[in-house]
Amino acid sequence: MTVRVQSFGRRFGEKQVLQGVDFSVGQGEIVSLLGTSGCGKSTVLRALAGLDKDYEGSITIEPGQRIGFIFQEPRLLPWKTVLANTTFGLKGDKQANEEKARRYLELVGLREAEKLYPRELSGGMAQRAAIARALVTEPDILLLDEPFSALDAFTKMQLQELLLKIWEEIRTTIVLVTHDIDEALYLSDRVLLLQGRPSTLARDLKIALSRPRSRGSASLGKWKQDLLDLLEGKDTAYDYSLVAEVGQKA
Amino acid sequence: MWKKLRTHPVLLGSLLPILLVAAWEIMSRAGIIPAYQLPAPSAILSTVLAYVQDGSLQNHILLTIYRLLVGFVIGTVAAILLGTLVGYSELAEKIFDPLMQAFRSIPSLAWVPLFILWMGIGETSKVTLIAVGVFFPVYLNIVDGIRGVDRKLIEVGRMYGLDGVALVRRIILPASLPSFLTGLRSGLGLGWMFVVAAEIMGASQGLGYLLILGQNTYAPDVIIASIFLFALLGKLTDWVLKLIQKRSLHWQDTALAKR
Repeated sequence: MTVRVQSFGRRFGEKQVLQGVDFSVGQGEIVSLLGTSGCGKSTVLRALAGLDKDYEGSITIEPGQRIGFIFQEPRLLPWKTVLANTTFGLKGDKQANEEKARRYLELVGLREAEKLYPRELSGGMAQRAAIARALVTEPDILLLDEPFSALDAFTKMQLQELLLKIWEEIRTTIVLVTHDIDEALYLSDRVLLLQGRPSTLARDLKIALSRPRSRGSASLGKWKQDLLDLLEGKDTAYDYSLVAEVGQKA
Repeated sequence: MWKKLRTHPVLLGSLLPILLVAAWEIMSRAGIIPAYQLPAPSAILSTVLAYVQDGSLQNHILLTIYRLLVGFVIGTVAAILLGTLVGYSELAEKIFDPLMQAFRSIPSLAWVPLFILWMGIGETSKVTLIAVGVFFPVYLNIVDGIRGVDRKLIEVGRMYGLDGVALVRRIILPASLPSFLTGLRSGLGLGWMFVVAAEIMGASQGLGYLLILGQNTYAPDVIIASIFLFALLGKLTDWVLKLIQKRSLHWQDTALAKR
């Protein structure tokens, strides 16, 4: 297992947001953390990235694994060009770095935009640049925090395809946080549903479906209904017994 | 074409000054305004030309600029060092900032007698006064700028393994550059104010000295000429900084940057 999370919990002040979350991610797997906003899914990801150290439980990452992080917003450095932003995480020879960065800009379709500044980019272009910046360091584990949630539907689909294309090429391990059920089902090998107050792992769903997947396929629809039922249970009568049962299965 | 001319900003902006100067000239010549109080613009111009011809005006101007620059550089360097430290380290902030805020509430001109007492009426006290004046706006803007750096960008830096000096150099300083440059410009403005004060308090050369000379020799033309030169030089140096600001902040996504 590349990543192992054991009895993970996190409290903010008085409020226990997450409790007893256990899961692991295998080499080259795409795993989604799904949940409504405020359920603590980003918190898990930030802890995996080492940005948050005040958690309970343990996180084990296979030694030597490089981690790349893509945020919800592009977070490009506004004073640097697209090319300079892309080489930001690289050390050593500038020329070699730029060559490498250009290869990844090509991959995300921004080769022509390397001289532009972030203010000159559209939302989709900026997020592509952010993806190139994360990929150029050749991470073994790529963490994505709702990376496409601020984009329009069409750009979102384009970038989802891009992510899969990259994954086909370099088979990096991916942990993706999202609140979009369709996105989670379309991209992932496994969907982890976080739910409850405090949140626990309500479901660990294996999506045994070959790629490329069809977005409207019947089996994805069935899984979606399944997840929706679980999510809706939270707002109406919250059925703890069901969650406990499903949790045990997982 | 007429419409274009009518709305051209330079043309429009210089309309009123030209009219005022013309009216002033006419009224002075007609004797409505007494020359011993307000000489005609042409008389002031000829005074300036006389000073230029004997070479003394150039010396006055150069010395004033020299004092300003030395004070400005010293004040700015001190502000950068302390401002970066206080902005970045919470401990340094707790130690230094209360003292700085206390010093800031002293109107800088109140230092004048003390500086003269300590350092005499030489260059040292003048430069010190200017440096003190420049220090505060630059310091405050650096501290504000650094504290205002987007936490999200700092996280990006940390994601790529930066901390300490590397984080300051690669994220915090460039991100706080806009604020720093604003500080430099207001520091320069205050610097001009204090160079006047410093030269009025006792100098044998410099534009501020000309002000006092004009006062003591009943020569309003000399006073007005120096006032005008101060304005011109102040505007010129600010324009240089503005140019630097524009060039180094071209990446900014603000309404002002696009103007």
